[in-house]
Amino acid sequence: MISYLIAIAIIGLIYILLGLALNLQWGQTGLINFGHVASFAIGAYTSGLLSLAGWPLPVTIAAAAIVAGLAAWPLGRLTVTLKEDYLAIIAIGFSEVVRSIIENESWLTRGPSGIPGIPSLFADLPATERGFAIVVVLLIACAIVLVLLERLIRAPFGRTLRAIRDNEMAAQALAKDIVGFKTRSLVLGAGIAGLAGAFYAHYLTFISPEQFTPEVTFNVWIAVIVGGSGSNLGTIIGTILLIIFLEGSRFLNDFGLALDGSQLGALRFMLIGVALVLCMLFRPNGIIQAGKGRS
Amino acid sequence: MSLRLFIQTIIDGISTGAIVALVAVGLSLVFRISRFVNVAHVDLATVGAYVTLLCATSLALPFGVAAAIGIVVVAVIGYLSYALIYRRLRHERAITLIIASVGVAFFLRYLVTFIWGSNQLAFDVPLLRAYRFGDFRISPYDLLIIATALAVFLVLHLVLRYSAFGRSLRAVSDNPSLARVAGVPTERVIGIMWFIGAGLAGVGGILLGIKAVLTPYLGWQLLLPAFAAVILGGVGSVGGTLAGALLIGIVGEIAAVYWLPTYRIAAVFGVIVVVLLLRPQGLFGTKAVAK
Repeated sequence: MISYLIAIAIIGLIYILLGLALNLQWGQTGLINFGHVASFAIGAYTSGLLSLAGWPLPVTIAAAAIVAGLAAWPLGRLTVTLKEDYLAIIAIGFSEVVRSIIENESWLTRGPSGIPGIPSLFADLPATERGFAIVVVLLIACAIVLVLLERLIRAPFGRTLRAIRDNEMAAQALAKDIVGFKTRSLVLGAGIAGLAGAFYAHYLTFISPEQFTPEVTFNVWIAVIVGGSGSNLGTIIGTILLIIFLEGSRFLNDFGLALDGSQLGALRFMLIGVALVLCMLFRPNGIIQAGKGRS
Repeated sequence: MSLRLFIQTIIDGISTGAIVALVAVGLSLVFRISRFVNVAHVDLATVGAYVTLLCATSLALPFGVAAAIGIVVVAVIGYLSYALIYRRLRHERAITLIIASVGVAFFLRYLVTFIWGSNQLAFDVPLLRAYRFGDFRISPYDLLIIATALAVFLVLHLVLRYSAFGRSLRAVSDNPSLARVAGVPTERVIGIMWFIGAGLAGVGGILLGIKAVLTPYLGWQLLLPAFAAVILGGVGSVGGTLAGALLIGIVGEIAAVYWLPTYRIAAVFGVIVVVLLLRPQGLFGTKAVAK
């Protein structure tokens, strides 16, 4: 039981990192990043491969954030001329291309079979203590990211992002460098997602392309939207609700539904789809609605 | 030898492009009228293929009848998604509509997974010998696909250009309020447009099911190519969409044959990026296409 809770806590904290990153890009800046999983994957593969090459974990985890951030840079520059819905499709394309590169360039990524035996964080501790230690490290990471983002949001940088989100033309009229701000928001968010990917790799010790499908992206999206786009606290609450839903739906069969594993998974995503539609129809500002007063 | 392979690749690309075109034209019409990228549009293609499969195998209907049912079911779903969801959101920003369409896409895709599972399925159509033209081979199904697409586009072109519905649709897309004032039944015109666009996605999905196999991701693979075709052709231009789709089909096929099959998507992505950077209004389009 305790190891189950630890596992949920670790996945939950990783998703909170992803959610905070997306909240910066979408909630604060209005960028429809439908390719979030690409940064997550790049982070996981960067840290996983470098650590297998013998680099110490703290260095590889930092490298993961940097590489994932840099990889998002061209995407940011592309947003210059793009309407907001173009970026959505471009970002989906970006994540699909990243996944097909991971699947094909076996010399680097070992292709579809994935990379086993990635060094674990705190490998010399026994299993339970190891789990606890990872939870603590992730809590610290989340706290640092949260404090950093909250400070950023309150700084002129954050105000400019929201100005761009709410009225790009007006922000431009004030001689704000729209492209620069959007790109920085995208790159910073991608770096945080890369960090999450690194922790993911060193917790599971195995990564493969099929862990980085668009479903991950939209799990994070539903968490941010339910929590109320723009609010970090809302994002955290939304993520916790998402994890409770994802884990809780495992027990649906206990209530007499005789579904096999893949049907259960499918039902879960059907419900996520319905939830997205209902959120847009009735609560576009999120269920928590904490972000309203801030903008 | 290499020239033969090249021409064979082009022929295959045209057949793929014809399918992309059928899906892309609905995406383009919705984009032009309702002004958002309907991500769920491609998943309608998936639903069309699976409903046809259900009718053709479980109900043992002739394939043509099964396909007709599949197309109508998809058209109704497309219309309902507009009537129940997107119409209510028409005054929201495009972002809200796109996110809602992702929700619809998820629902449809995983409904298919829930009912039919995620394994590959195939239509029970006979394996036909390819026609030979000198050195080249072309399968009867590819001919069927290309002929269907050309016929659909011809009809669509005539309808949009010369029928009362087509005039109304163009009026609504150019200036909705003016059209309404002039007595165009805006709501009904937009509803019919959704019905037709979704039905054509169903046609595309069924044809792709004949050419390849059925998986819950059948339509999803078409999202980027279809979007690319819309961008290339210029939003809202029916002829441009057809040309863009054929070009995308050929580019994808060339990448698949000469590079790696799975890099088809990377090539399509590259085309989108280059076009958006150099000519955002599309290769064939001008800003005033809609006129």
